[in-house]
Amino acid sequence: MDAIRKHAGVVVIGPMLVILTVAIPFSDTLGGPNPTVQHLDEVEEEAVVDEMPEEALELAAIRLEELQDLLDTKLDLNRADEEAIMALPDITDLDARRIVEHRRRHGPYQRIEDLQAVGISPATIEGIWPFVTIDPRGTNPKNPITIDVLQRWTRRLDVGRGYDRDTTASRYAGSADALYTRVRLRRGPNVSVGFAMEKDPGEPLNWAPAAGQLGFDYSAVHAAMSHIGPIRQLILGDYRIDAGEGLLLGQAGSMMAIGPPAHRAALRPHTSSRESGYFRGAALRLDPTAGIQIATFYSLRRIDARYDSTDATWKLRTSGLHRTASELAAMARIREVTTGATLAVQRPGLRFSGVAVQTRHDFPDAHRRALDFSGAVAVGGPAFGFWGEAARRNGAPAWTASISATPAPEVYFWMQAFGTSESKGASHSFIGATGGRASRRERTVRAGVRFRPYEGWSVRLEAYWRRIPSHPVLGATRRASILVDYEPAPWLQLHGKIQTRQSDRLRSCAVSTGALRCARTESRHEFRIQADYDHSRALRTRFRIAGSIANPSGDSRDLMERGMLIFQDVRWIPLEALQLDGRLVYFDVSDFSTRIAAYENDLLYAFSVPTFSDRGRRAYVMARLRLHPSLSLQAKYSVTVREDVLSFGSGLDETDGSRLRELRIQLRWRVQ
Amino acid sequence: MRRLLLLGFLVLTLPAAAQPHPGARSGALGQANSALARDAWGGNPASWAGLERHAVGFYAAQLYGMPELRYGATVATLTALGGTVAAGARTFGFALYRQTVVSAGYARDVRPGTIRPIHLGLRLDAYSIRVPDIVHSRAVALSIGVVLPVAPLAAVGAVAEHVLVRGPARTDIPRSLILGFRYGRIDRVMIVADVHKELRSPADLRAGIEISPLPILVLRAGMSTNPHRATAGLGMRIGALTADFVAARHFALGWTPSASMQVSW
Repeated sequence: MDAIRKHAGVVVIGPMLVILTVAIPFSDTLGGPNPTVQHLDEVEEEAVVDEMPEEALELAAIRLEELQDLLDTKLDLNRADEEAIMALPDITDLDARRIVEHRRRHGPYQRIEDLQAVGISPATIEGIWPFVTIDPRGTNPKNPITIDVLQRWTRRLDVGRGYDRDTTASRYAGSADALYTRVRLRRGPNVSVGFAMEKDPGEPLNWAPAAGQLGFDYSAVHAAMSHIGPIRQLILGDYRIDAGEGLLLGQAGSMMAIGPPAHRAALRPHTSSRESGYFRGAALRLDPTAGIQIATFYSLRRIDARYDSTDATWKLRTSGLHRTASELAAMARIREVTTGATLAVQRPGLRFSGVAVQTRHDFPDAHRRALDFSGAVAVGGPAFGFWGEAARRNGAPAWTASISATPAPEVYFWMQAFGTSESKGASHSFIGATGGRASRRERTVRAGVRFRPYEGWSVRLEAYWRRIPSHPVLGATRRASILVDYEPAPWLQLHGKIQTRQSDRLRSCAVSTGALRCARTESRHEFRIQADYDHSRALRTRFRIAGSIANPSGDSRDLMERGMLIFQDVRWIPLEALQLDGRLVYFDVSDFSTRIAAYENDLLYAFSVPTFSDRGRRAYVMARLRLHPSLSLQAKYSVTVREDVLSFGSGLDETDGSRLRELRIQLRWRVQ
Repeated sequence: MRRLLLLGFLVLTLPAAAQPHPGARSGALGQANSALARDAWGGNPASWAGLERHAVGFYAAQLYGMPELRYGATVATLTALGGTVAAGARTFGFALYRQTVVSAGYARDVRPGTIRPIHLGLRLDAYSIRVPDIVHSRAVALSIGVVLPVAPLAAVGAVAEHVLVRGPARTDIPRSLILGFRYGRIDRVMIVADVHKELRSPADLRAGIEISPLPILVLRAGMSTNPHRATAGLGMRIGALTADFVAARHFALGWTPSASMQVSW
């Protein structure tokens, strides 16, 4: 949970960013040495996060962790398979297939520019360059052993009343400290062993080995091996599976927001701090013949659930928070047993996959079984692609379909439709875009186009429509945005965004004959301009002005609410081993309807997107210090001061005063 | 009765936003002064950096033509301690309301691996707000600023004005973040623009232009959006003496004349 810090209701506003856009600082031309990028935000992490829709934020944490791993390890394009190449930003599964096919026919790539021969655009090549390496000989690597130990400690210095010493009042069971420990040992790309543990603020550290509690309420362990004889991949412990479009295994609907359409067939160890959306047990993948992949898995987990006496059902909980008596009471209440298999068939220009998952939930007083399955297909060539998946999940049908096209160089178009039906309950804690919750009837259509009209310019147009017919309040939501990036020189980047959103809401209208349901349309408009200037390799400044106008009542233009945010940001690298980041933010926002979010730098493997919905200031300073070639220390101190408030937050998180301070420290030891 | 109304007006509004920063030059530019460099009045404390000579300046204004709203200020800058040391004072109001500010600041140029020097500065303001027989409160406020030349003819500036405030009168002290831009040659044509966001007020967009038709004459014009204001002024440079004049037109409250004079050596 720590990967996504929730500042009084963090919400990321903005349209879907379909393409992960990264840019390499100071890279005038391709073909030079591999950029020495160590932290993801050096390649514009905010390009991923700042535009992320709300529903995809948790996935963004996982996605960014994968990208950071790629930065650490560098993918050798002369050895990597399709699945590994697909993990690169901006690379579709069809791109990956072409890259591998070209390598098979023409031999190892000699230079990164050779990717243009398979239709990868220079902009995309520039984007993936920090994550890859090329060994022109295509020889076997030495498979070095890598040890990676990470310890994070964070704490709010101004805590809510849930941490009061008054034992007569309701309070959190643990301290306000948050801890995250991760240890990984790798031998080359084929062997990985590791574990991760996390304690959220308010959670207790209970040491009761007999009860299976080893201090932390959450831990993830894995041992993974790949390319061992006929076994393509074997994972023991905690793992995640992506298959097809992610409708059943994965997170369809959100996945589109963090990458281009892709037919996924990934089996990965779960090392994230996300406490839901993973399996525990064993997973095995075999490639019996060329073009055929078979995976089977078994999972046994105890998961959180709460008995809802109003409808006499058990509700799965996926928040991972165990702070209060009621949350602790819901902890590990039921047993979830999952067995499943996936089959994928690949042919030139065609991929097909099928997934079947059987789930059994053992409640204290009952059992429940569910069978979910899906079929997915992807077809396409260099300039066109179609992806589709249909599933039965949570006992109800669901489907998704996507197309993408590259009608001209530097022009990329995509469109996705997504539909679900209403279900009575959740069949699994992982399955579906809203893991652990029942499906509702929903129709979503997204479309976008990205093009580069001139050298240095990038334009994205995006549109979104969603309707939830059965929802008691929500009607149709429409959103459109335009994002323009202009880089007139390597040291200057300008960014602009305009977005408009309209949402239909149902409400009670008092009329002479009584209360009737009637509709209103809420509107919300946003703009943002930002400039980044690299004064030198040691100094970068950035400023942003963002504004929003909303008509939350949908009644009169006189009731428009307004918000504004302005910040100045500086990055200074006084020493080769020290990087300092600082920002001063002023925000003046009417209310939640005009909220403004702004990505900010954070510790490695974490990111922060505070949302501002009132008036005040926020400042942070962050230091990254390389104490030794293998040892790095990161620390961040932030303070937010709100105007005209006596307290903020609610419930046990309600904090007296107008100031909120936080300290975050992380130590990483990585030796190779 | 008029005085009582003025007192209410002052207490409620002027301490926060309506007082111009001293200096008729920045006043004529619509108060868009965050990216100005080498300006003794220090609208951006970083603009003191790089001053090559000592200077003393005086400023006087009568807001909206009302004698009750007289405003006076003085500033002195010394090139010392590897940069520029500045001190100043200003006073505003009349018998029933008096605000006095004593300031001290320091600025210098740094080059963190950059081709062009970066101007950094800070200013400490000690506020005294007095309403006879009612209240006398004080506050101390810290402002920091930076001017970043980004091209031979262009610079950006940022000021965190009163970013830290301590003292009983802290709620009366405006706190602003100002981001600005300057383009052009000071001895020919220069344009400036600022976005000024005071925490409790809507954003103020400010812009100005400065033209030097003669070596001794400078013409200026400017505007701002919150409050709606148009400004025009001129400046004269005769040897070590610089004199600036400005008339600012507030669309509701009327004219504000002001002048400043500066001697450098």
